[in-house]
Amino acid sequence: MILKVEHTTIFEYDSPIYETATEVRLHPDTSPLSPQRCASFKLQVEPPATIFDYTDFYGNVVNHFNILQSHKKVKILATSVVDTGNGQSRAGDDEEILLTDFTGESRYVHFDQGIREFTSMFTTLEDKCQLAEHICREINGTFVYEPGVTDVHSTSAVVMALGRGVCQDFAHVMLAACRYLSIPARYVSGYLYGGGSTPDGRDEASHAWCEVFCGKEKGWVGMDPTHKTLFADERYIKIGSGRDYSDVPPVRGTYKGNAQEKLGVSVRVSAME
Amino acid sequence: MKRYFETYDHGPERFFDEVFSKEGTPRPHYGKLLQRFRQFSQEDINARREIINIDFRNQGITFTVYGVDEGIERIFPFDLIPRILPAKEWEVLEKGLLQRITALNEFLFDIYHTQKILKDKIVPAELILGSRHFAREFVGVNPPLGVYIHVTGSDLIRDGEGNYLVLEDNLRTPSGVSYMLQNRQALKRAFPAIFGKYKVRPIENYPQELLRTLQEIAPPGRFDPNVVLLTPGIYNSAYFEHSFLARQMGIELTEGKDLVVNNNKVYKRTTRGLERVDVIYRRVDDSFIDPLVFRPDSRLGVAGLINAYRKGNVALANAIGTGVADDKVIYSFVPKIIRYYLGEDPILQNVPTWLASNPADLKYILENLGSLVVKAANESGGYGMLVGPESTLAEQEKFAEMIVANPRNYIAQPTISLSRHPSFINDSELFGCHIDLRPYVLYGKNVTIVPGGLTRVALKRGSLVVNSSQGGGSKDTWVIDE
Repeated sequence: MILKVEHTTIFEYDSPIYETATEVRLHPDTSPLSPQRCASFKLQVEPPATIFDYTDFYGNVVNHFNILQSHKKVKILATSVVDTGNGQSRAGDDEEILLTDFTGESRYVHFDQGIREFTSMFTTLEDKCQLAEHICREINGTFVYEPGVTDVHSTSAVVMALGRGVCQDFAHVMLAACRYLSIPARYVSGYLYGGGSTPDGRDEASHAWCEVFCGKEKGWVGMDPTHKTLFADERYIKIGSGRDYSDVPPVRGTYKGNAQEKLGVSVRVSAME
Repeated sequence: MKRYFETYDHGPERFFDEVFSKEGTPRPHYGKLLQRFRQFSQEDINARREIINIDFRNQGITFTVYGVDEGIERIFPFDLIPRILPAKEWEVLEKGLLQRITALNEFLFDIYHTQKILKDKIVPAELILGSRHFAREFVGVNPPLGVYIHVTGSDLIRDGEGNYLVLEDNLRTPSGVSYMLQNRQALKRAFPAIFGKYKVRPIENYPQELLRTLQEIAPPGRFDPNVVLLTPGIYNSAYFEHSFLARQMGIELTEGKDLVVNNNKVYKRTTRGLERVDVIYRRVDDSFIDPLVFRPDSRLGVAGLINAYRKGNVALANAIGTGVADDKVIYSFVPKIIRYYLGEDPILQNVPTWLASNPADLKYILENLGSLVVKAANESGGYGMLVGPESTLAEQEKFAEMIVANPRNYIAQPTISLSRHPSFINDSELFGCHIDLRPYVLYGKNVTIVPGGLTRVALKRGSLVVNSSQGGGSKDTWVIDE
């Protein structure tokens, strides 16, 4: 499926700011292990800035830029065209060491009392991939989708206690449960065509789900606790992956000046065939 | 009148005395020094101490004591009796340090590139990936000359037989070198005659050697590179040293707010506009150095610095992420690291270390809690330290529980033996105080080691703590050619 993404991020300030430094993680996954192919990617910034890039530890492409002079608004428009795949990434040759990162706790993924109790119902299953699917189904069935009760910094423990949250939160809970049961799992940032981030597909925004390591043969299987379909498929566009949200935030930055910030995000995913 | 050294007690046999043998005879290289000190009256000593105190105060050689006396500046106590290392002894240390630093640098290069040592399972991968100092942001980046640790200061101690052991490697931003330089100046002024009787290797060119090292790592094509020192600012306990070194090298002392990144290059704000910066001798920790990448609340760093560094547009000394090689658990692997990369046996030995994560070691640790020192491997653990011989049974039981619950987080070592050196514990009395040694190693195109280093001394009777914040002082340290 060939999909086009237009992702606009606008930061507005009530008084001038200066010396912004920004990192953007919006480039669709280009790894040869990925099932998708990124046909094009364009990043436009206002006020205009020179854009640089590098590839991070997890293979994600990071773009970055800075604006010295004072300004009250920063607009970032990312346009990409992606030929999607089946939602499964192949395992790399050198993955064993990296798996260490995806089996432990991380900034937003905690092994708290809640996760220990939650996972106690699963421990009888033999097949790890099947086990992950059960976890995914359980979260999808019992957690309530509700924006506004959590924020981007909510940990899996907070979400576990609340029993509600958004796609990012469900992904964190699923990671905590999988990793607590020694199933390597990573956080995926991306988009979903025709579905957005909400279960009923009302809203179009960035999306987040998980990839579970199902052995060298099957590789990383995309699982999405937010949607009933449970598995990532050709409607899913992957940007990148990491231990949790903190490794792949879409936009991260600093600035100087004293101002109130207002953030506006809009995402449009459309089919090109 | 009582003469100095007449009643000096060279102490219990389990400690090595630097000046006297176990039988109480002076070691030959201290002969001339003792002879001279025996002729001094207390007035002679007091007069010299006064000269030095005025000198130190005038130059503002102080350190800040954190805690109760926050913000109070004190003169760093300087002990009048120098420590002497014969060239033969020093040459072994030099070789040992060169070997150790070379291996640790190769280790860092490997960890931040192919990770061969992890794949070969010499060092467990989870120790590296689980270390809070492992900088994922820096994997695959090539620092200039392939060097990560441009300035290091490993702490050495001597056991009961006088063997030198490495207590820890300081691969991040080791401090204290300014005291080493000031001590030499002070001693030469106070005891010119004694100093003249020995062939003491000079250390005064350290700032120039440091500057040369920094210039060597400048980005390619940057002739006459602009080098600056980045300090956290006046509230940092080592601020004196930062300003001292900047002055000695003739480079600008800057804070994060003086620098700015534009188009992936680093600039310094000046009255003439922005001026390109090529090399930063940074005395700011990794976690504070770039709010875009590390702690977003840091006001001490420069946003975008790490990306400029990754691109090779600016050099940092030391590199990012070097702390992964100097934590307490990795320390225990250094002998293996030396053998792995260099195929050599370590010249300098470690203090024996037991890892609680190793089942056989764990058993030993639990059975010997009363005689061992237990340390939390990950400093952020905050569970502190158990000094076996000084602990109660209840404390030992509590530690046993914590160790069993989280073995990977603990190591144990025998109670440290530090050698002793005659030192003034008050105006008139000499006592065998415990000392250590921190030599400074510079690593650019070549490795340069300053002869000697900083000898720290615990100026309290029987104390093993040499830190300046806990009543420690320092001595001038001589490497002598006979």
